[in-house]
Amino acid sequence: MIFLYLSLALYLIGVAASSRKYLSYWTAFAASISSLVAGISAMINSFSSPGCSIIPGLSISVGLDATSGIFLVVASISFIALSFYSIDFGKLFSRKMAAWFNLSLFGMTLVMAAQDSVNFMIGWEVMTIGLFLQILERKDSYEDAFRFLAFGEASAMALIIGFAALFLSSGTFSIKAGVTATPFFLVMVTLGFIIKMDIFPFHTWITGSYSKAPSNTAALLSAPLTLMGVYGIVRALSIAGYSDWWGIGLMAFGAVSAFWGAMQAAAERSLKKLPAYSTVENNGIILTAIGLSAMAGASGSQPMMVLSRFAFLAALFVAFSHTAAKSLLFMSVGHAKESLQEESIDNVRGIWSNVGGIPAFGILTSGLSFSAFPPTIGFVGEWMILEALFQSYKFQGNAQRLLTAFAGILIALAIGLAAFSMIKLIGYTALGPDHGKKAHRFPSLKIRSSEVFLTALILLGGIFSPFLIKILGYSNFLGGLLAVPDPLLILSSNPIFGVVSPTMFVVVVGFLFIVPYLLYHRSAKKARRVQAWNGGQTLTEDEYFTVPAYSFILEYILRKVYRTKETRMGYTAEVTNKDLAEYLYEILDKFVRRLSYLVGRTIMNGKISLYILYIVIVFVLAFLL
Amino acid sequence: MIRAVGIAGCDQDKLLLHDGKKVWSTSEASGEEWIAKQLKSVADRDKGITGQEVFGDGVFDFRYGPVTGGVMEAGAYHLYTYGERILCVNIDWSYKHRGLESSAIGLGVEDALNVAESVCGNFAFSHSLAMSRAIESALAIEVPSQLRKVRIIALELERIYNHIYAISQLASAAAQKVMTSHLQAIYEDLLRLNNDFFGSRFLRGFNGISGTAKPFNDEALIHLSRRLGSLSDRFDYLYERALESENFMDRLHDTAKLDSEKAEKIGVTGPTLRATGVREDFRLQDQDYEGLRCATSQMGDSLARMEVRAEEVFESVEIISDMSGELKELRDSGSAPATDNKSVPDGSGSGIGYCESPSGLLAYYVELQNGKISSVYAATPSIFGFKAIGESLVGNIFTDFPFAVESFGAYFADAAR
Repeated sequence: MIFLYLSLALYLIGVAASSRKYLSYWTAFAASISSLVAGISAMINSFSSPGCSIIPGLSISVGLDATSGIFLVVASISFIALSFYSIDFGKLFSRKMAAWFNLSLFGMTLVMAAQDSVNFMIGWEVMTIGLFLQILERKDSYEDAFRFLAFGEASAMALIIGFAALFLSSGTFSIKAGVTATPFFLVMVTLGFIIKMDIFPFHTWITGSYSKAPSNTAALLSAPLTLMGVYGIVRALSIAGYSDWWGIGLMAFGAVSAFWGAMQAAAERSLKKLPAYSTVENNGIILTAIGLSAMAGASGSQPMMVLSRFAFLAALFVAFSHTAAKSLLFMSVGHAKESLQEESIDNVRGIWSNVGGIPAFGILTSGLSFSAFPPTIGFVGEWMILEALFQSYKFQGNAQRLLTAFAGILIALAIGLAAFSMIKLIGYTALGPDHGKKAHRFPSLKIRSSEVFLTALILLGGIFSPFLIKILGYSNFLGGLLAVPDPLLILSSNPIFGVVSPTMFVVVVGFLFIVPYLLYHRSAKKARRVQAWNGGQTLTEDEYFTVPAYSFILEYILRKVYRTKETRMGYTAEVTNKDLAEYLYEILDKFVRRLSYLVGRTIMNGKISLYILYIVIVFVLAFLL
Repeated sequence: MIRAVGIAGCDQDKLLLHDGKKVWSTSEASGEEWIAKQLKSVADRDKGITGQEVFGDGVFDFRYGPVTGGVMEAGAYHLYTYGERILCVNIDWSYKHRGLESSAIGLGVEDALNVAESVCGNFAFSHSLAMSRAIESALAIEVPSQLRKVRIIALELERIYNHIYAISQLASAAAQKVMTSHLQAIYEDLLRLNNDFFGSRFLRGFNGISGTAKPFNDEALIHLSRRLGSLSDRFDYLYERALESENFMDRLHDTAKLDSEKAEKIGVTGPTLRATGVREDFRLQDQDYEGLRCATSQMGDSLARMEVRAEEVFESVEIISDMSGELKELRDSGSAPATDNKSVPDGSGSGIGYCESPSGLLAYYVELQNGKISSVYAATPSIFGFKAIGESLVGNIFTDFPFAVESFGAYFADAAR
C-alpha cells in the first residue's frame, strides 16, 4: 500500500517541481518504479485503504486487487520507460510539459487504484486534462487538442451516466466485483471506455492529436491511455459478470475496429499517424478477445470456460504487447522525428545510419511485434487471439459461431494488413537508404536506454512468455510435448487444440540458423558487396520508390472504402484518402451548427422574456433529471 | 543551296529546309515560334522525350531501363507516378545513338546503303529502300518496274514478320504462352523464308541503287507465295483464337488509347495512326500498290493497333502474291530482270526518299557530291512512335505498360540512329 501512496505522492511532487523539469521527470521515474512495485504486490496480495467518508453515503478509498495490479504493472513499465526517456526528450519542450506529464500519470494510477466511481472519475478527468494540456504544447495544436478533449469528455459523460445507473441499482459508489449492475450501466460504461480505446468509429481524433503531440505524449495517448479503457472494460466485466449480448457487441466493435485500423494504417504516410491507426487495430483485437471471453463465459460449460479464460489471457497478452511495443515505437519514432525535424515516413529514411542503431532497432522490434513476428511478444498475443477464434465451433448457437468466424476473418485480415503497414514503416525508416540528411544531435543517453529497455522486454517477453503465463496464473495453458519440455509449450485449450513454443523457436532458430551463420562468418572470406541492380545506373534522389506508391495499389483496389481521390492539376498530382468515419462527424458537426443557429435565432435572440423562459425550462429539466 | 535541317512531326509537316539564314517548311504553317518548336524537336530527337515532369506528394520517377529485363534495347523509360498510375513519361534513347548519319558522310552510295541498313535490324530493308530512293532521286535514276516490284515484295515481307513479332510480344505480355510459341515459330519461319529468297534473315545486303545487290531468282517466287500462304493460314487460325480469348482482349482493349487528333498532332504514322481511324498510308501514293486496301480501326487502343497489324499481314501476303504474278508476266514478256545492277553515275544533287515501313513513314534526305554522300538526314517512324507511347501511357497503370509499348512497334535503335 505504501508504494501506491508513494507513487501518487511522487507524481504530485513532480507536478510541483516542474520548474526544474529534469527533477520533475526523475520524480515521475521514481513514482513509476514505486507503482510497479505496488502493482506486483497487488498481484500477490490485494490491498485497500480504509474508506474515507466525504459526505453521508459516500465513502471513497484506493487499493489494488490482482486485476488492477496486472494493469498497473503493464502501465508502470510504460511509465518507467517514458519518464526516463523524457528526462532527455523533455529538454526539447517547455517546463509545463513536465507538470502535465506527471499529472496524467497521477490520473492513470488513480484510475487503476480507485475502489469507487468518484475516485475513478477524478483520476479519469485528471488524466484527460493532463494529456490535453500536453497536446497543447505545440503552437498549432488547438483544434486537435480540443478534439481530443471533446472525445475525452464524451467518454467521461458516458461513464458518469453509467456510474449513476450503478449507484441507482446498488446504492453504492463501489466498483468492486459483486455490486449489482444493470445492462444500462454496462452499455454506458462500455461506451465510455471504448471511446478512450480509440475504437471505430470513435477514433477520428487520433490522427491529429497523435501527430501534433510531442512523442512522449503520443506514446501516453496510444499505450497507457488506451490501456485505461481496456482496464475499464475488464473492471465492468468483473462487476456485471459474463453476458452473451455484451460479448457479441464487444466482438463486433472490436473486429471491425481491428480491420479498420489496420486498413487505414496500411495507407498512412505520416510517421505518427501510422502508429496511431495501429492503436485502433490493436485495441480492436483486445476488445474482440474480451468479447469472446464474455461470450464463452456466459455459456457456463466447462469447455467454454476454458475458452473464456484463454481468450482473456489473449486480451492480457495483446494489451501488454501493445503497451510495450507502442511505447517503444513512439519513443523511437519521436527520437528520429526530432533528430531529423521531419514528419513524413518518406523524409526520415535511413534512421539506422543517420540517427542511430538503437532507435532503428526499436522501430524494427516494435514493428515486428505488431506484425506478429516470432518470437516477439506481439506474436504470442496475436497467435493466442487467432487460436481462440478458431475454436468458434465450440459454441452451440449458429449466430455465435458465425460471428466468431467472421471476427476471425477480420482479425486475420487485420494482422496481415498490420504486417503490410509495419513493413512499410520499418523498410522506409529504420532500414531505408540514407538520403544524407543531417541529424540534429541532442543528449540522448536516457532516450536510448529507455529504447533498449523496451526492446529487450518485447523480445524477452516473447521468448519467455510461458513464464509470464505462469506468473499471471494461467498455468493450465502450459505443458510439454515430444521434445518440448514442460512448461515451455503454450496450449490454446485443454485438451490440446493448438500449441506454440516461442522459447523452443528461439532455440531451434539459434541452432539451425544463427550458429551455422556464425561458424560460416568466422571462416568465410570477406563478402563482396555491390549495389542492387537498378537498370544499370545508380538511383537518383527522385527515383526512390515513395511511401504513397507502396500502398497505392491497395488504396486503388479499395478506393470506395478509402475514398481515394486522384487529383491532377497541371504539373502537380496527388492521391488523398479520407477516413469514412469522419463523414459521421461532419454530419454531426453540420447538425450542431444548424441547431445552434436555430436556437440562437429563435430563443437566444436578445428577447429577455424568451431567454428567461429558456433558463427556467432548462433548470426544471435539470432538476427533474 | 537549300538544305534540309530536319524532318519534324507536327502538323504533318515532315521537312524543314534552310539556306544557312532562314528556315522554310514544306507546309503553310510558319512563324518564328513554330520554326523554333520544330527545330527544337529536331535537336532533341537524339536524346528522346525529355523535360516533362510532375510533382506532388509521393510522385517519383520510376526509371525502367536502360538495362532492364523488360526493355529489349538500351533505353530508359522515366515513368512519373505516385504508384501504379502513370502521370507523365519521358523516354531516353540516347544510349542507342551511334551517329550513323554522320558516319555515312563521305561514303559511296552502296556503302551508305549498308549504313542505313544498320540503323535498325527489324527495319533494315525499309531504311535501305528509303535511302536508295533518295539517292536515285538525287541522281535522277529511273527505277525499272521489275525492281520496284521486287522491292515491294521485300518490303511487305519485312512488314509481315514485324507485325507477327509485335503480335507475339503482345501475346507474351498477356501470358498467352501457347499462342506466343506458335507466333514465334511463324516469325522464325518468316526469317528463314527471307534467308532462302533474299540471302539474309533480315533482308540485309539485298537492295542496291537501281538494282539488287545480290542475284535474285524471280522464278522461285512461286515457292515464296506458296510458303507464305501456308504461314498466313497458320497465323489466321491463331489470330481467330486470340480474338476469342477474353483475357487477352481485356488486356488490350482501352489500353494506351490515342485519338486521331492527338496522333496527327504528334505526327505518328503507320498502324498507330491507322488504328485511330485515319486512312493514311504512303503506299496509297505509290502507283505500284494499285488497289491497296488500307486497314483501319476506330478505337485507337492497343487492340486496334493489333487488329490493323493483323489485317496488314493478310493484305501483304496478297500483295506479294500479286507482285509475284506481275513479275512472272514481265519476265514472260521479256523485260530485263531486276538483278541487273547498273553502274551508278558519280553525280551530285539532293533527293528525298520515302517508304512505308512496318511502323510508319520513313524518310531520307540525302545530298551527293561527285557520287559521295555529303549530307544525310533520316526521319524514322520510331521517333514519333515513342512520342505516341509517351502520350498514350498517361493515365494508364504500370501493368498496361508492355501492352502499350509493344503495340506501337517502336525501336530505340530506329529512333536514335
